[in-house]
Amino acid sequence: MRTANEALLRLEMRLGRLLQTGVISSAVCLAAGLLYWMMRGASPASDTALTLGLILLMATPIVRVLVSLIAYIRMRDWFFVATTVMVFVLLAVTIALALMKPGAA
Amino acid sequence: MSLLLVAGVAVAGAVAGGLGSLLGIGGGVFLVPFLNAGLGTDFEIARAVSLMTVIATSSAVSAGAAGRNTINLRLGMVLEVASAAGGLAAGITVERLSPGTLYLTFAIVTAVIAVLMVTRLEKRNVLDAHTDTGVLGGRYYDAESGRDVAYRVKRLPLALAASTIAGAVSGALGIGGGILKVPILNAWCGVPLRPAAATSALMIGVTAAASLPLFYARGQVDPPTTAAAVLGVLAGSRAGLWFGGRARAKWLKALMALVLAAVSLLYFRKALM
Repeated sequence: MRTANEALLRLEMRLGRLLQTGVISSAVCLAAGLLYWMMRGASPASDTALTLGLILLMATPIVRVLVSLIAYIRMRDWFFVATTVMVFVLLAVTIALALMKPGAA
Repeated sequence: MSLLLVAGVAVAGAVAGGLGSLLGIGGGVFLVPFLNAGLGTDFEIARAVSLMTVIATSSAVSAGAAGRNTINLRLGMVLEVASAAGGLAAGITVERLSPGTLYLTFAIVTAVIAVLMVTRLEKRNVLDAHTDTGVLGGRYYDAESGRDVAYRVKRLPLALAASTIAGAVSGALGIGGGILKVPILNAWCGVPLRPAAATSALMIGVTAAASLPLFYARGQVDPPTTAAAVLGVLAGSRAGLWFGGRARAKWLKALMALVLAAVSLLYFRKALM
């Protein structure tokens, strides 16, 4: 029980660093893109930076789920492996639908 | 998209983020009406922009809370199955709702949030640290009692139902939905307020990620506007946390409940027109 709690706390710290990295890198891209957009108007450079920032932001919670999945597999905690797989499948369905109908109304 | 509008969105984001962190809720419920009714942005765009800020808030708040054992990763993951399913269902079906239905839903949800904000009661729910917490319960250091405490999760089906509804509302209206499930986790499911709030803050990011990519694919995420809103919310919530340690937020809660009540009336009117 105690070691399981310690493993969870380590996972919490690792996920915290991951979320921190995700939100900071996305904020940097968004700030750079927005600054460029304000100075020069829409350009390939500003578009790339803004899109990268938005994708990074959306990807962060999804990567968080993947990292959790790997951690639960390592802990051989099959109930939570199953739970995490279910969450991941739901997110995968969203992404698949999004890729299937780009620009659809 | 003009420079002035982008500046307005950044300020709106900062105010929404600041209010959100002062009140312990996400800023989405303020940002959506501000963008939609205030700046005249389409509801679809306001929703997508707001969901982006919900993810940013979730990541930033959870990163700050990590390492204190208040985020219940296991309970969060179980409830995320429900909230992500709700979010995905809303993301698929919401385009079929008429604007009137959407406005009416927004009016009802803001009214509920206004009431929850002033009436939310805090149940302690803490047990002795050596109690068996079950699979989903947790232990953390409780600053109020100055010792380690434990809690058990009760009525899981209720928590799952609340998470599904919160997820659907999040996907349909562009808000985080934390304030809809935290009171239920706290009042009926045995979870103390701090772990309930921290776990909910983690959950809203995945919940938003279950609907937002669909809106992104439909071209509803305008990049400069969204960038301005996200940066504004991140700055605002940071400032809010800083002030939050210094001021009692009771009067602010009452004031903002009134603002939300006004927003609710505005959307009732929009729904009827």
